[in-house]
Amino acid sequence: MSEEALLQNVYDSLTGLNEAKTIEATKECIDSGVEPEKVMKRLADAMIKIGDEFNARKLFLPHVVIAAGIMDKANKLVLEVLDVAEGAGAGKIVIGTIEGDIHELGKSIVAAMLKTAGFEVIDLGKDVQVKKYLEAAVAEDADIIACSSLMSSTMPYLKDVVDLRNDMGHQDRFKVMVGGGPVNQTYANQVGADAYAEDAMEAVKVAQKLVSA
Amino acid sequence: MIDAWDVYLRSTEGKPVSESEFDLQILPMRLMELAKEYDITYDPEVVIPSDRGLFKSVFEAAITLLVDVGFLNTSTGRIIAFDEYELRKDLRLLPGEYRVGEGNDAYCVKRRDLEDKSLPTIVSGPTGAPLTEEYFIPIMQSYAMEPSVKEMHTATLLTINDHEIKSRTTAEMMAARREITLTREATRRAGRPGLGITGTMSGTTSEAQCFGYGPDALRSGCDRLLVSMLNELKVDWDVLKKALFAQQNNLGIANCMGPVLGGYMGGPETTLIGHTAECIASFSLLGGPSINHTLPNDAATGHKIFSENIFAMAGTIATLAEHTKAVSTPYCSPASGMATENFIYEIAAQAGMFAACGSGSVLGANGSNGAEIDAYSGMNARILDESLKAFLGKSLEETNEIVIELIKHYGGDDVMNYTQQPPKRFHEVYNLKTLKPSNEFVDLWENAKANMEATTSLDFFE
Repeated sequence: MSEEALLQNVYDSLTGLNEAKTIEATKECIDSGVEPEKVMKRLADAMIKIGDEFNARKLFLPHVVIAAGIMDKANKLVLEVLDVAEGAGAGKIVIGTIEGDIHELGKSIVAAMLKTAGFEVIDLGKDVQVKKYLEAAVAEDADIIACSSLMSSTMPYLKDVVDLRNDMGHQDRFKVMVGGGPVNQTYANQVGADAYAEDAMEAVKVAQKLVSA
Repeated sequence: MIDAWDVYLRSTEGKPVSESEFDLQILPMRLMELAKEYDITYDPEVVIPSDRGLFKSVFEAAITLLVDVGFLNTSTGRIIAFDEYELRKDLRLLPGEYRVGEGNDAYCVKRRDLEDKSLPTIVSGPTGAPLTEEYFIPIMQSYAMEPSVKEMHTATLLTINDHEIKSRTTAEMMAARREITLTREATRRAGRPGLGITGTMSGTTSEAQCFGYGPDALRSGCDRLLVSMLNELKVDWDVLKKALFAQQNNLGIANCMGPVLGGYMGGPETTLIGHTAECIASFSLLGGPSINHTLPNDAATGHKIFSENIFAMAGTIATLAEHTKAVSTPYCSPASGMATENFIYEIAAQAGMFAACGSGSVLGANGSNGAEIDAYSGMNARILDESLKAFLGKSLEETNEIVIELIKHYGGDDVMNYTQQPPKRFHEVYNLKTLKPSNEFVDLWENAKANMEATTSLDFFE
């Protein structure tokens, strides 16, 4: 089978959300000597396609989350060959919905989209205490802390995350990005966040910008 | 409804399931199977469905979903299982109405049928949107001054004593109480002190929201506590505690649900089934006779005004009207901001759906998806009321044709290119001394009515 055919198998298997076939196709590429970077690129292309279809409402959140999980596993296989640490790609992000807030769906969409863009994402879930963001960011040596708030009464905790980071002297180590229904750029500026993103697609662009800054 | 102790036992003894398995496997897989089994499909040309066979299929699919999947209590990680007989029995025993308010302002809100000739009741206010302390009373008063408004729905206080309101603190408890007392004061100033009130919005925890109940705040036998379930067939102890509090204090319960389209419940067909199931379950789990429900939020954009969202909501309301005695109480939620052209067209499109599909009452309208500060007014209720009236007497088929035209006008048929128009603020479009809308705002509405009359079969001036 040609190299292109092998890579196309990877692409088709992942866009078809077939975990077993994606893993098998990835292994076939590796065993056939296809350059690992090319395999990762094709996996990323497949995730971009899935992201586009999510935006066009042809696929829905379960599909994106399942695809991101499959890509994680396939990427690990490729990274073993490359012999590099996981997350050496786009960057590492600790993400969660802020303390007191149980609205998780938007955060989960952002997490899935960040994964599709190659970020390593540590999802802390919902109702995350302020100190837990910092503990996780330190433990994981993250690049970015991403916090979501969907209610005006949980928004003040976003400032607490920024303040705690600064009090710990980590303002140069971790960037803080914020988002969620009632949050906007003005509020992000007020609380001292490094960035604000209006939706999942913008969150990816903002995270890429923060990491490359 | 299911006895509260029984709900407790099911929550603590039910089958354990992880939330991710529920979200990613159990719920979406069963929804897709049921859509196929019952042949429930979405046709972009049918935004307001009229096929009674579809409503029957959606109802049966929703009951089947609840029996097969149940509800997840995320606090215990266990499934609250339902029996088909008890679900159908709870629906059969619904009263078909609820009473709010007292004295001269007491009102009975009743369910409606498909294509019902009676006007849905307007329950109004910014419906949870954020208001500053400065404008809270004037904005609420402007809603209470609209004669069409028969019940008030509170807003979220942005600050209290000029301080941010932080969840899980005593500040949010005080804010929840303040929100109700300020709304009461607004109704007094409007000369309607007995108007019923639905709240609370300014607190996040159950203890804060329940603290809206008390002297001069939410009152037993008059007002209602909003009890919102979690997305995608879930509850937690916080939700169940609020329901129990209201049940035991003879405080009205407004079951509440805000579904998501494009999330774990998938596309329009499966969201239709899932949302109908949530509504049905709310009567058994929470006990209120009505369901306050938002149009499904679009997972990617957060807007609710697209064709698919309206289809999923229209199908749910129609199914409830055709097969239950529930009072369907949908939120009218334009994405565009107050006092813009699209804002009016978005309200009108939703009003058509509510009028023809059998909503008993309608909430709002707000604007900007309820996210902007102080961008709401009583004029929103007037636009909603007159739009509902213009649709009365239209069949589902006629309504579908008109609503499709309205959706095209504001761009709701194109998810990728829809543009949300920014709002005007209350102080920009209202006289702050008389609390009357500006001529500019009234003219905008009059012109929009004339345009809609010229381009559709709607009649606003009859």
